Parts: sequence; structure tokens; C-alpha cells
Amino acid sequence: MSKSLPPNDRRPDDLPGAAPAEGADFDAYLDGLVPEDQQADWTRRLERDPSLQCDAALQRRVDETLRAKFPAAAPSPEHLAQVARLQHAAAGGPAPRRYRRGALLAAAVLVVAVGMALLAGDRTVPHQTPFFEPTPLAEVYRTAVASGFQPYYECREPERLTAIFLQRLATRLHLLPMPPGSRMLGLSYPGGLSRDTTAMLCRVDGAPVLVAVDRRQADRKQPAPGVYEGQPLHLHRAERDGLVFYEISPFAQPRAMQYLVPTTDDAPDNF
Amino acid sequence: MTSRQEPPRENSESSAESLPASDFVAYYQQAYPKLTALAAGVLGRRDGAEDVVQQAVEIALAKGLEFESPSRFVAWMAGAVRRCALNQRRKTTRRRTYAASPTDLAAVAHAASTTASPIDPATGQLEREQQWFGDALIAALDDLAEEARCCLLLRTVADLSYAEISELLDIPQGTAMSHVHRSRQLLRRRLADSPDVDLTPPPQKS
Repeated sequence: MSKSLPPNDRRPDDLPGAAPAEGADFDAYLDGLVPEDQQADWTRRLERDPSLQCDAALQRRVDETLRAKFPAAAPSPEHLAQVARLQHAAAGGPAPRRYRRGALLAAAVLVVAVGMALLAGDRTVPHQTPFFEPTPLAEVYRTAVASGFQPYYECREPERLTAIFLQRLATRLHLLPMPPGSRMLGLSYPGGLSRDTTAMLCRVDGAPVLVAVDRRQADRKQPAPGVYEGQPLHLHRAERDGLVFYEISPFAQPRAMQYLVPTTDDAPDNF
Repeated sequence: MTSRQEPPRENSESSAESLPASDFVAYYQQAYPKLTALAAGVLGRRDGAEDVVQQAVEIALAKGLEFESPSRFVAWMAGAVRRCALNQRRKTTRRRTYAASPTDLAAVAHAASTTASPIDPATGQLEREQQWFGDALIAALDDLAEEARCCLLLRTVADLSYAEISELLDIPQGTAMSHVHRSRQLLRRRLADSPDVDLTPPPQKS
């Protein structure tokens, strides 16, 4: 709205033409529910009536604040993995009593064997990795944007970014200076290719850009990224030093992944 | 809110029509945002909403429930989420203690908004007045009836249609719409009357 609003204190009920803004019709209009033939009437009325403008601006602010206070939530990959495990276990159903006894015995033997092997430092016992279900990276992107596109860790120090990639992917990476209009928001661990996939969240010209990094051996063929909120998404891929980089964004060319590069500089091995 | 749907089967023989294991997680993931908004609506706050949803799905899994369709799954989950959230709210009310709410640094979600972001991009901090506005809004939200608050959050935050809200809460669409519109009017009236709230919109930033 281009017109200035009346002084902030209270609604100007004494202004000529001011009408009570409350009413189901006005809220239906704000909610986008009035028929087309009435929309133009309401728009004209809104342009003429400062008290309606006040209410509309206030409602907009209420909606924005609610969305900020209650951002859309997405389940963490760890939680989904746990649900999947419980679901698989539940889908097995209760076994007949004689099989249940045998299964308990076998489980007990396994627990004892694993325990003894661990105590003996025997590394030949197969490691039972937790269940992980890969997620298309475009879906990781959509979930991140729907959740407010906030990183788990803001990572302001370059040394810490290097240390995190070293710990998670055994490779030191550092972020080159990004051009004007681009900035790194931080890091997240959203899953995707594997449990170790590390995502760098950026804003480029105001748009969310996600760079996902993982070991090359964890790479999986990605489906077409599709669209998000009417805009086509683009998926860019590169390989460097045993790592695979994916950038997902609305941009037809990579705008961030090229600034995340391996480094040979000494960096702290822990943080 | 009472469920009109048939209850799911418990611990039965596997049914050819029940949700496959691989789909269960996908439907849960898809339903998660609206279930969390529902939990937040019952609780009156965001803190603890995800815990409630996770508690509800663990109950479903522990019972070994089978759902014949995604809509039945969501309907059952909505009921379970509401019960878990009500229990949590009663505990909080009895104890008269509240978890300290961390400073909310969430950026405004909609980039197309014509009002300036309440977040200072240099510091990431909320402008002070916006903090008061937010606090006043949360206090006013808590005074709404639970069902009205749920409808408002499902519409505003989870962006559900009134048909979807109606199905989730098992109430008529018209009732859901009335709840949302009346709640909005009440909140505007409360905030307009609040002396701590500056209704002048912040200046537009280039």
C-alpha cells in the first residue's frame, strides 16, 4: 500500500467515511474468499478508508508474526530413521510363542557375542549401522525452505567450517569470499545422500541456495528437481577431491558451490 | 472434536490394504507440519509441539496400529496429537512453570511481504518493538479457545484449506472459517488496544 497510515495510537473512527472494519465480509476478503465481483469493490474501499488500511496492515503483521513464531516444522532425518526402524519392527507382528522364545535366545546370544567382541577390541564383528533412508536433494531443499531456511549452526568462523567438514567428510574445505549479494548462512546436517551429507545454506540475491556435500561413494542418481512455489529448481553437480557437491537453487547456473573448495592449510582437527 | 472414522486395527494380521512400511514414513513426513501446527494450537505455544507429535507417532507404532489409507493415518494422528498436547498443557498449568522461550530469530517466511523484515540482518536480532508485538500476540493467542486457535494456526501457519482443516479436526468447514475470522478480529482488537504496540508500519527498506 502506498498511502501513509494514520498516526499509530488508535484507529481514526472520527475520520469521514470511516466504517467499522470488523465483520465477516472484510475478513473473508483478507482471506481471499470473496467472489471476484466483490473483490474490486473491497479493493476500492480499502484504498479510500484509512481505518480499513490500518486493519489490513495489522492483519498482515499478525500473520507474518505468527509464521515467524510458529515456523513450519520438518522432522529431522534422525527422527525419521527412528520411526522407520520402529515401523519395520512393528510390521513384523508378534511371533508365535515358540518362535518368540527362539528369537529371544538368538538375540541374547548376539548381544553377548557383540559385547565380548567389543571388550576384546575385535573389529571383525560386523558393525550394525543405523538405518538410513536417502532423500532426493531437491526434497531436502524444499523442506529446508519450508522450515524457514535456517541452518543448524551459523558457523561464523572459517576455521570451524573447515573443522566440521574435516570431521564429517575427512576433507578440509574452506569458503572463498562470496560476491556481493551472496552470503553463507551456516551449515545443516539434513541427510540426503547419507547420514554424513553436510549442507551449506546460502542466500544469493535473496534466494535460498543449498549446497550439499558428501563423499563420492555416497553419491546417488538424483531425480529431476521439479519446481518450488511455481519456480523451476535447478540441480548442479561437481566432483572434487573425492567429494561430490550438489547445488539446488532457482538459478540456472551454480552461484555458491564453486566457492567451497578444498584447502591444504593447517586447520584445527577438532572444535 | 470427536472422530467419525472407524478406529484403526490393533495388532491384527497384516492386511493387504494397510500402509506399506515405506509409505508410512513418507506420509508421516508429509503430515508432520500440520500435526505440529495442531499441537502448537492446543499448547498455545511452539515449544514442545514437535515433542508432542513425536510422542503421538511413537504411541501409534507401539500399539502396532495399521492404517488403511493416509487420510485415516492423519485423522488418527490428529486425535492422538490433540490428546498428548492437552496432557502436556494440563501438566504445565498445574506446575505453573513455563520453559523459557529462547529469543526467536526466525526470519519472516514470505519474501513477497511488503513490510520490512523485523530482523536486523546485521545482528539477527528482532527489533525491540517487534518483540513486544510478538509477545502481545502470543498472550492474545493464548486467550483464544483451543479449537479456534488450532484453526487459526492451521490456516495461517500450515496454510491448509478450510476443507483440510475440517477433515483434520472433524468439524464443519463453516465452523473452521468462523473460528479463523473471529480469531483474527479478536487478535486485531487486542493488539490495537495494547499501549505497548506501535501500529505504525516500519519504513520500507530499499
